[in-house]
Amino acid sequence: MSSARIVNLTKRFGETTALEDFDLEVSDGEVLVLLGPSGCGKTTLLRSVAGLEQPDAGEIYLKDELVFSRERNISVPPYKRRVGMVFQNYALWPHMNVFNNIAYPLRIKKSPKTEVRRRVREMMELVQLEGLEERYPHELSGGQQQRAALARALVMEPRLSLLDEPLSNLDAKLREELRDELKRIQRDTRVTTIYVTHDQAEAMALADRLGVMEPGKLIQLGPPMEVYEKPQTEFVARFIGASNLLSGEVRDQDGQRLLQLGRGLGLPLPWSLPLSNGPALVAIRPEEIIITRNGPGLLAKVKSVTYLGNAIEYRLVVGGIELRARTGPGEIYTVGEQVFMRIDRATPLAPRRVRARRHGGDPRRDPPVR
Amino acid sequence: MVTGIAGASLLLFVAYPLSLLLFHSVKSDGKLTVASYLKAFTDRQNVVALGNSLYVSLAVTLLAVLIGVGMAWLITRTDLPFKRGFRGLIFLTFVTPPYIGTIGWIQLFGRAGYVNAALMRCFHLSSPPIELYSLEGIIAVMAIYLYPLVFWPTASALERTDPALEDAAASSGGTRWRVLTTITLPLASPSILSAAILVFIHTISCFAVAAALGLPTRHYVLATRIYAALSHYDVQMACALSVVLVLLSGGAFLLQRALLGRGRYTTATSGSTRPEPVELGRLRLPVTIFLSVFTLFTAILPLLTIFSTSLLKAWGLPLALGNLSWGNYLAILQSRLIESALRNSLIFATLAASAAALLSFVVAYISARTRLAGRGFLDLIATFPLAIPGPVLATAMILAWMRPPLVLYNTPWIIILAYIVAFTPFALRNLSGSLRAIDPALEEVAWASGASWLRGLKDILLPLLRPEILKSWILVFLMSLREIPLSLMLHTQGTETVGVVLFSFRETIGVEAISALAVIVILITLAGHLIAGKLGGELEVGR
Repeated sequence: MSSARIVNLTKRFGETTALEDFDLEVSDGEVLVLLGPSGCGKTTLLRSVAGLEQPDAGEIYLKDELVFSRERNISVPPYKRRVGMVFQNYALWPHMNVFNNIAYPLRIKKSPKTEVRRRVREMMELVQLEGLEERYPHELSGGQQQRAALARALVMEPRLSLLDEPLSNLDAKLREELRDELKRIQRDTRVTTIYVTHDQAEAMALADRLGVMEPGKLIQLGPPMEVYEKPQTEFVARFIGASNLLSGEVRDQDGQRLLQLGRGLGLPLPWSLPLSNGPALVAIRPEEIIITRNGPGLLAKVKSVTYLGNAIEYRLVVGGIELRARTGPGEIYTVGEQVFMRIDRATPLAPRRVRARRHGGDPRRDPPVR
Repeated sequence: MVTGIAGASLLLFVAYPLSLLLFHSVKSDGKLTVASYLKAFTDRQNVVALGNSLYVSLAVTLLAVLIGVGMAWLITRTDLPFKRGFRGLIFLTFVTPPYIGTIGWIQLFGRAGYVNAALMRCFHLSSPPIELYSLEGIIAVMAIYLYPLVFWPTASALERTDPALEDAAASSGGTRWRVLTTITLPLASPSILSAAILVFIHTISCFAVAAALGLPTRHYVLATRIYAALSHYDVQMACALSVVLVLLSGGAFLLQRALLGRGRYTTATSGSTRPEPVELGRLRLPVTIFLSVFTLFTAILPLLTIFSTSLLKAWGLPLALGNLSWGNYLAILQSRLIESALRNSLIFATLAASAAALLSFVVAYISARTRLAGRGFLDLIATFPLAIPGPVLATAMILAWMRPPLVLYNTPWIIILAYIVAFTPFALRNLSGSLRAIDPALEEVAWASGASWLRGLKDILLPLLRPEILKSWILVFLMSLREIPLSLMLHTQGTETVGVVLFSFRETIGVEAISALAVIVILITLAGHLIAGKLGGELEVGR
């Protein structure tokens, strides 16, 4: 059963289109993570579902109730949608203590006093804030504020909870800790969740399904592993992880399959790739490049070495193009050294003709690092 | 719906009267003509008044900038001692109503004032050596009461400036003077410029001080000429002069708004420590003495004079213990005129403050929280009276409300309405800044929690904004309480206000009684600022 269904949603702000013909279906109890760069419309989508924005076209269903339809002129106000929302900056009410913040949705519903107290205690236990009832938001750490905001969103047993970059204001260590907490809380409550972030690791860790957004559009939706391993477009490949993106001609030569990159440079690819001869765009993750001292492989020169602790990242120059490679902390090569490299695995992408030729074709351009 | 009401009432009560002004200035016997302007400017007195207005306003602006920026730099950036004390005295100057201050200055420097009398005695002069009743007298008094308008924003801009920027300049080899003139002051210049324009607007609009010091010697500025024209029932002339005056003050206002819209330089984020204060060295002592004398003299002396006069049994008696009593206070509280003026002022100010707080909240909410078409225009109409000098607004009010269907002229309501129109901009400026500082997500999350819009307003926004609303209320209350030109031109028998009594009843009830009333106004003002201070921040009082 679907918990939320978004059909053909379009929202414009003046000249810019935040969402265009956007479709999405969220199943009951699932965590759907939308991943995308800032300004891609993910926040607009959450706000539209919550009723805080009025889209220009399309429909929104929550548990089969039509809550928004431009065509039929329906727009259920936010306070009747029963949707829990957590904002990036938590938006705790500074003039209420933690207890009152969390109790607010219940008091609006006019729940009896004992019920309010019981539910708030329950929620505070769930998010592990016991004992902090009397504190005011400014007396809480960032992580505690975040937990309180979550408790407030969940206390009314929403049909859907919407989380807008809830961890992005926290430092790295706390972010990981809270990410695992969120996962646990979601498992305990089974509340259907749409979670929006621009952090790839967060998205991977939390998602049952992961949607990658490009401005205005959802370009790939699927289980996180599938999205990671089989990015369908160059944009997804770039956004989901630091990939080398190479475009060239695939051809067979001397029993080898080569990706001809021009200037006489042919990069051998594994036969297992579903590729046919002709123009192709291929994503190669840094960890999919194998470096050795003795071959086999193409001769490459180490241009830079970055020690990352659990891994080492290299920039290699092969016949005038630069590739990013990552190895385990075992053997260390030095700058200027001649090494052999070969490609272990790679992902063929469906190139969007024009863009792939113009932007994706030049591997010397630095791919974005996430 | 609320928007509609707010918009309609602003159009009716602000835009309509002002447009009548323009209309009446170009209408003659049912025809459109510029005759009234020609007539206005063939009268030499009006040309002189226009010149005087510009002279006074530019001189006051220049002086206020020099004093305000100089003191701001000394207090924020050097090793000057007693900084808190200086700030306190500047604040006292800031909150003193200029006209009340003027009463004090007249007692000191008027022809029979203490200083002139003493000088004449000492040097055996036959006439008073200092002439306060002159354009220069107006300039001096206005500059004293307006320089704090430059001081506060400049001081806060200097405090916000990232010291790293100056360190960078100093380590690039800039001398202290070069750093000051090429880095520090240019960085604060948007704040200074905007404050200077504000001073210009306030001076050119100012009525009470210019009237008190200029009228006795027939030195007119535009604001007092309008008053004179209206006193002679020359409505058309008053309208034409009003339009000219509004072109000047309104032009400056729009210029300032445009500058503010362009924003300020981003400042202070690097978190570096305060810079070493500039050492004044040998100059430290003389500068300290000079500043102490200046601030004590300008802040305390006039108030002290008024207070001692209020205790005198009769004006003219020397200040000796035997001549002092609380008698004047008892007398004014028993005076029917003053009692009714005080009551009127308190009631009018309460009503105006409540209406202005409500109206400014609605306008601030619409412009900060909605995407309604025309919200910018709404804000502009509500703010524009900031640039309308009192006599001009009074003229517009008379034109709009003296004829049916809605006759407010000769009722208290026209005064209250004029206060609301005139002072809502100050409340609005205060509120809209605070409202913008409150994250909209706080309300949105309340709606998502099941609260209706009204409930969200009641539970979230209003409690968070309460101190600011209260401050706006106090602000309008205090400004109404001491208001002069509007009350003066719109009052009738029975609706006299404190301002009217202070301004026109000096001869009737005596300087001592006026002083006692002034002391009461000062005490209420200080109390208001004290309460506002407890609520956090200072009030930016208009002049």
